[in-house]
Amino acid sequence: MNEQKKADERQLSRRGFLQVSAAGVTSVAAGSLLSACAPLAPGTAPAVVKSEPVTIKVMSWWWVEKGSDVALRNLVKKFEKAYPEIKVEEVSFPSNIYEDAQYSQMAAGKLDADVMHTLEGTGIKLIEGGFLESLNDVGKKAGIWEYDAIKKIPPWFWSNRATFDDPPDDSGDLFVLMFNTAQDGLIYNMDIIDQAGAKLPETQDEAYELAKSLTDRPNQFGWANRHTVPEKVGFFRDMIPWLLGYGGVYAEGQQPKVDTEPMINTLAHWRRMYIDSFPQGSDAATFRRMIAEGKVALYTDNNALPPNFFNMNPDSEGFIRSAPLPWPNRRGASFPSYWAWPADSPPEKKEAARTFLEFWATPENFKEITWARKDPPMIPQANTPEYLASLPWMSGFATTDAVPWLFVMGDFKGHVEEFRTTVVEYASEVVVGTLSPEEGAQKAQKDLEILADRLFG
Amino acid sequence: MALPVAIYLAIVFAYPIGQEIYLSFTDARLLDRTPPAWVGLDNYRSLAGSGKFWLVIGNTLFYAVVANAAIIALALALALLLNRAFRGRKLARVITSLPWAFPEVAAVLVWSWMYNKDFGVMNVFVRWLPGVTENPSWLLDPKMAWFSIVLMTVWKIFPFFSLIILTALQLIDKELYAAAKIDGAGSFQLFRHITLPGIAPTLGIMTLLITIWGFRRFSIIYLLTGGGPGVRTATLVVFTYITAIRSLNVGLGGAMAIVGLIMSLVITVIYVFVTRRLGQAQI
Repeated sequence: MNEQKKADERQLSRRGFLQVSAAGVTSVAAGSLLSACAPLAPGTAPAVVKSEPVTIKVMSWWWVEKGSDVALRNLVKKFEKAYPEIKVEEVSFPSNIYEDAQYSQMAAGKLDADVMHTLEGTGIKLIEGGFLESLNDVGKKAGIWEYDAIKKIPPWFWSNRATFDDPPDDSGDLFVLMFNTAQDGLIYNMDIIDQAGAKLPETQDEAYELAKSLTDRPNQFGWANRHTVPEKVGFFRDMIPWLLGYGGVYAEGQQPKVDTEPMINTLAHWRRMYIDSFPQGSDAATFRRMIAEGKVALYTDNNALPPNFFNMNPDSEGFIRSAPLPWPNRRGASFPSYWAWPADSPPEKKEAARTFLEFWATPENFKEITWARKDPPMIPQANTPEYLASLPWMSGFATTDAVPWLFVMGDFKGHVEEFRTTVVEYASEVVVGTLSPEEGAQKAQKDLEILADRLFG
Repeated sequence: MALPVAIYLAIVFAYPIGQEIYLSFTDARLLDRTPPAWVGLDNYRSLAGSGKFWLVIGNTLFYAVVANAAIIALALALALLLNRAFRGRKLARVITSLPWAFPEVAAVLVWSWMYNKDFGVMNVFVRWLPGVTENPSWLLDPKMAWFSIVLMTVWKIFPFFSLIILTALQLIDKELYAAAKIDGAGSFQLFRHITLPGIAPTLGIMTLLITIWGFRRFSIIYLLTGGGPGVRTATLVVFTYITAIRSLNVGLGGAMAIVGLIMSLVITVIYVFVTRRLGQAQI
């Protein structure tokens, strides 16, 4: 109750501030006009100057993502009602080209947003390029320091945290805010598993054997993950939990680690899954639709995916479930999305953007958007037994020992594109059998060592 | 009068090409805010010593030669067919030009579906062939991927080429054929001595153009295979994109682009040289 009151006070004070600012600007403008007109037309009525609403551009892939679009638009509707002097303009790119769009804008030197969604890899590039301004002040005023979620923002987005062990400290710069995260788990089709009388896998080998036994091409596939060059971003990403499961990473510090046993195991596993259970050559859009239609038994991905399946086929809510990742260490990746603001927004837009972010961060709104998107609760207010009971497909994801996915990149965090291109180039050859896993791993390692020399001297 | 043209050429051609040449001698990286450093011929040395780069050059030449040969052969055959009088000829001409009219990206996405190993319609046709018991890996096996790329390229490009040849065919004076027939010329002789010389200039310029277009054709290859598996179906322009834009290495990508430019120039020079020699021989 008190928190709601505080939130309301914050909203009111922000609204008050903007109204005072608008009135001040109007007075100054009207005064200037009056003094300019006075010598020419004494006694003439002053010109009426109306303050224009401030429009902020909010860039996100959520605008065009089913489910998220409604959640975000509802928040914006509520915001514009509370702050009629601020309008929100949508800037949208679908998630598969979102990073490309941001890279293009960075290359052009200007981001087309006052508030924007960003992913980890792009976020680092944005900070390195000097495109982002600290949000620490916004975070503090919005009260997000009171949430545990703050601890989940990885050290590379802070100016004063070098490792995960360093406690968050509000004396430095924090360049992003995080309102949701997703983490890996094993997604499975309960009906297929039950009909087969199968037990859920607990190791990589069990996963392979089960997937193979459940494959009956082209009617049913035991497993689906991305495995083609045109989907190299997803291919690289889908291998991460498996690599972590085998105890590996892509790089440690400045040293690529792709010729290691865990990476070779991952490549060999991808190869056998491709032969015996993947819908070969199918892209994510295709196999995800097949999952929603009940034609795929098992799949590793994050908790943001099931709501998409439910949007494609509401019946799938009855058979899509999650389980712990099928390897003993339960390690997987987390994929937070962040909100940031460009350093070069004009002050009045920045003030309006700040208001928007603070509005979002109030517990009531934070909870509403979490529930609307069916995200794992990140604040206590959203973490109710009723909410959790409404998500029977969520429990498996919670068992993952998750690390932010950029953790596997070592010091190559800011060079993911180049690293990824090399890994996928050879991994794709392993998958189709033109290279053995060992050959692919060694060739990739050699190329990546050249890259490391070039990048780090 | 020449000034606007000079300004246009300077803005649209000279500056971008000059900038590209400059970047190819630097270590420029996309999104890097530090100014690029001059590295001399390092990028070109790096390319010369890279097995992957030579594989890509081989891919580029293979694609240009095989796809173009198929396009020319099919386009010529179709043009000769459509040049004959038959009922429904106009409709046939419209239908055959449809592939050219389809937006390229949409067409590639449809073809990528047709090539899907599990669900693609191409599997139905290929399974009719004797001895084929499994669906081919249309886009994942390197050899099949090349076949798939070439097939789609030919389908997309040859109707346009065919229409151009048809236009040239219709410009040949019909009296020449009548006179030759009176002299007892057969079909092959008519083709060899009247048709072929009549369309030779058109064939020449179109061959040059489709060769150059072949070198820079991007969307068909990139959307079908992404240049993969590995870089086994990457041509120079796809590899340049991967290097310069996906890997952000603008310096090295610039060097590749310059190599591509030189290849196109060489072909143009050869074409000009050959046509001049042919022209002189005819005189």
